[in-house]
Amino acid sequence: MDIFTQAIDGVVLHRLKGRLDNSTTGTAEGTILGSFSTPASRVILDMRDVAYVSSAGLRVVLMAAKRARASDGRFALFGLPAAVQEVFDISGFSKVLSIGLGEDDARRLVGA
Amino acid sequence: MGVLQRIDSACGRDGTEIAAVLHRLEDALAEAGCPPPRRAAFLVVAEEMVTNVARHAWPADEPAGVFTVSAAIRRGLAGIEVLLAVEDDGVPFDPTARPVPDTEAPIERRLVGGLGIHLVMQMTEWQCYRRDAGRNRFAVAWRCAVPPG
Repeated sequence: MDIFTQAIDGVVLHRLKGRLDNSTTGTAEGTILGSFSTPASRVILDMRDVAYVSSAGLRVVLMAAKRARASDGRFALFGLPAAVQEVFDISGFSKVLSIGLGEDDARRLVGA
Repeated sequence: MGVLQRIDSACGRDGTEIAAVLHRLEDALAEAGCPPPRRAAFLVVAEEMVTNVARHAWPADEPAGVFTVSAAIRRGLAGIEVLLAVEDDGVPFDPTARPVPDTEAPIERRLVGGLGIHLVMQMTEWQCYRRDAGRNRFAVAWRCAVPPG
């Protein structure tokens, strides 16, 4: 899992590449959750190059959503490939998370 | 529908051994002609089944006992079918009897974790658990509709 992070106009954008699975979530967890260290952070995950997400990855995404909620922040994802969308649908995440089709969508969802 | 490939692997508890087994399964599916997005879906199932045993079957500081992963891959007119099974001699654990997580709950009330088995149950066609002679055996059937090649 590679993570490329950009901070533009008050929004932290993490572009994820690879697999968000049991063996890779340690790094992702630290980087993504670290974005919420200041209150009212706005964080976006670019999922276009994520090959798959297992329950270990879902755990990190859920923790990020909870952090955002607890710190008055905003959190959105975009560009979920079909295999990732399937996992999000089964776990009910598609209904409770802010998921955009593209980056512009996601920026609107976090109020940017 | 004949068996295209059969895999029987001993597995351990650490990440390297788990990754090696998952890699073998992925290669076998690729060889059977399963397209990458569907392979990704299968790997979610396989990872959940294997890591669940590795993490929970034995006390945390003990090495794995009997721990095997087996797969039979078939290809027929309807596509590819994989019969995937994990077997271990750890504590009795029936994944098919686990409570279904509340996937309708709002974020605040969602529990962190507990989704792995739910994914396995939802993403496979058939599941079977058996406790026999001190061993857990959990098997699933997974299908991928691809045109015959």
